[in-house]
Amino acid sequence: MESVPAIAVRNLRFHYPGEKLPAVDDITLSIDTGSCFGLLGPNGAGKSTLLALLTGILLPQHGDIRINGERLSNTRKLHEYISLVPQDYAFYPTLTLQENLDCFAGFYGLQGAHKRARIDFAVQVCGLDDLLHQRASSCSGGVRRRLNLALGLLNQPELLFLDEPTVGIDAQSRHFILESIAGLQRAGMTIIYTSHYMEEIQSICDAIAIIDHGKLLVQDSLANILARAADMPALPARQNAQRLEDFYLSLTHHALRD
Amino acid sequence: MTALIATIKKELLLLLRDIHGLLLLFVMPVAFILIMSLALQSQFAQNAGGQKIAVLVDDQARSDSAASVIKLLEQRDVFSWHVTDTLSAPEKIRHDEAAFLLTLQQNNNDLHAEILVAPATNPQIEAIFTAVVGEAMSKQRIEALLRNIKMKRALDSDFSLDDGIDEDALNSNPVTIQYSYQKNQTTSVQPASAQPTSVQQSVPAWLVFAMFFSVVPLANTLISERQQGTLRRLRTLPVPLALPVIGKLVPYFVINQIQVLLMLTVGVYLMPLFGADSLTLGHSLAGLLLMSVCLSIAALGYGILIAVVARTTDQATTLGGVGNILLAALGGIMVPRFVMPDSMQQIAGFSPMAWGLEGFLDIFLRSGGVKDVLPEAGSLFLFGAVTIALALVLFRRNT
Repeated sequence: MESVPAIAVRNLRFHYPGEKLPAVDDITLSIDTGSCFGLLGPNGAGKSTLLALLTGILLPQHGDIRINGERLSNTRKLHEYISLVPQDYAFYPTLTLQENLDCFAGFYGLQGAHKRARIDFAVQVCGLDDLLHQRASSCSGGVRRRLNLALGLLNQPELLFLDEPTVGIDAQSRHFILESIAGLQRAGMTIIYTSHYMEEIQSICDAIAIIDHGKLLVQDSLANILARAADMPALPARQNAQRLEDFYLSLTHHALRD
Repeated sequence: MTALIATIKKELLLLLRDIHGLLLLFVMPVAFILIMSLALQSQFAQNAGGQKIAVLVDDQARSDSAASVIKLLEQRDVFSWHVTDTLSAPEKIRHDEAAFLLTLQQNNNDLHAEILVAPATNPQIEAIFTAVVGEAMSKQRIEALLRNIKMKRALDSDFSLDDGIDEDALNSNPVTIQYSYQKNQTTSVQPASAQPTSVQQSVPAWLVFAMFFSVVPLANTLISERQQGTLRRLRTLPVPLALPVIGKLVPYFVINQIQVLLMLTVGVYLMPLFGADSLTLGHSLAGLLLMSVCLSIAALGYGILIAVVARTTDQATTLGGVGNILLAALGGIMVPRFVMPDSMQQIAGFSPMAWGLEGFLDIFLRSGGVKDVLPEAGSLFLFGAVTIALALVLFRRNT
């Protein structure tokens, strides 16, 4: 019996008022439960709008979204088992890390021992143990990124949406975060990951979709896409490790987007 | 409920760490109260000392005797005398626009004075005024009598005093008193024209100003949440969409009440240490609480609306700050309403800050109670309810 995908999207369309073209234009895709799914696209391709639609921030104007086989209608219920880690440092900089964790745990309705256990889990996964009493504003970019991730883990989500979670941090922090994400996936969490760093996608994702101008250009497993990239004529001075980027650029072209 | 408690706790922590916000909400108004009360102390005292009791005079007699009485009365400069012949004079008295209406009527040779007393006129002032009018009428009668005697003597050398004096007319009471309200009915509020001292004006004025200034920290936190992406994140949490807005109202309401306590404490205990009067709080704790609650609702409604409309903290600070200063200038905070010309006083009535200030002055200055501040409290509550509702609609639409 075929397993139900974590996310199934059919003919999804969203058009912002006043814009000429739709931000999401007839996208159909499927994300397997327990996978780490990479969502790629240049700036303005429609990734953020697609994430907003999948997380219930925006409601689809056309098409259908199914989460674990159920049509997305009750966003309040959806928000109990999904989590979005935005690209921005979406927390309160003048509060300490502990206060931020307490505050967001409160937003999830967590109390008492249950709350403490969830906070301990998030702190452990993100390596924040010794930093809890520091104000977020005084922490390094790497710690802030880890706090951003930790806040997204407080409800122990089945689906975790990560929007460029490693922007602007050093190699050590990036390595730590990628390891943590891989660990979460191994524990059974479905991860939807957007990034502009191809090597990150290559290192942690098992399936990929590339979108541009609101349209889905390709969706396949990482292995298949790398195989297709291998068939492409090699670009001068390009290394094998950059095959995914070559393939991505061949689809989205080299023209600057902003 | 857990989410709401978390929001409230978060807002309080954010405010406690916002040194500029704290200075704006607590230190600025205390400084204003101290500076303005002390700077304007002598000016207010002069004003209060120079205040005259308004009397309308309706000269229906139009006789020499009446003119003579008016001339005598005008020498009493504790009263300001305004000759009127309008039919609306009794109406003005009923509305306390003047303390008395004095009507002079001529019955044959007798001049008769009728006094209409305004509802808020102090009984002691009434007694003094009655005596003043009685004295003027008596003087006029004596002068008329002497003139009459002199004239009769000149015409008749056998004239005797027993022949020429109408004792009934001489003994009749030339002054009658009427009331524009039911006598013995206690009126709690002092005349609207009663003027405050510098402390009585400054403490409630700058308290109202400070409460409306919660717009700045309130708007800044909401705009920061929007700019930092926290609002977007909250949209993916199982909490009501309006939580970030509702969650701000509760802690800032508490902050407003702390402001009320602090400013009143400054007025009552700190001002006398600087040689100024102590603030008198009136007799109605319930009225004070009602005003405090309704004023806070209005201030928070205004603040949250600015927070939702402004896109940046600069916009919020400019819009909220300049808006506050305009409302304050218009509403009698910076310039007391009683020194404004009539037309400006009418315009001032449109500022919610004026409603707040008048409500507090009703309690502190005019010994008013809940019933007396209901119009101001009701207007503030309505203003707050409408602005909060509008802010929620705009927030839902924009988020």
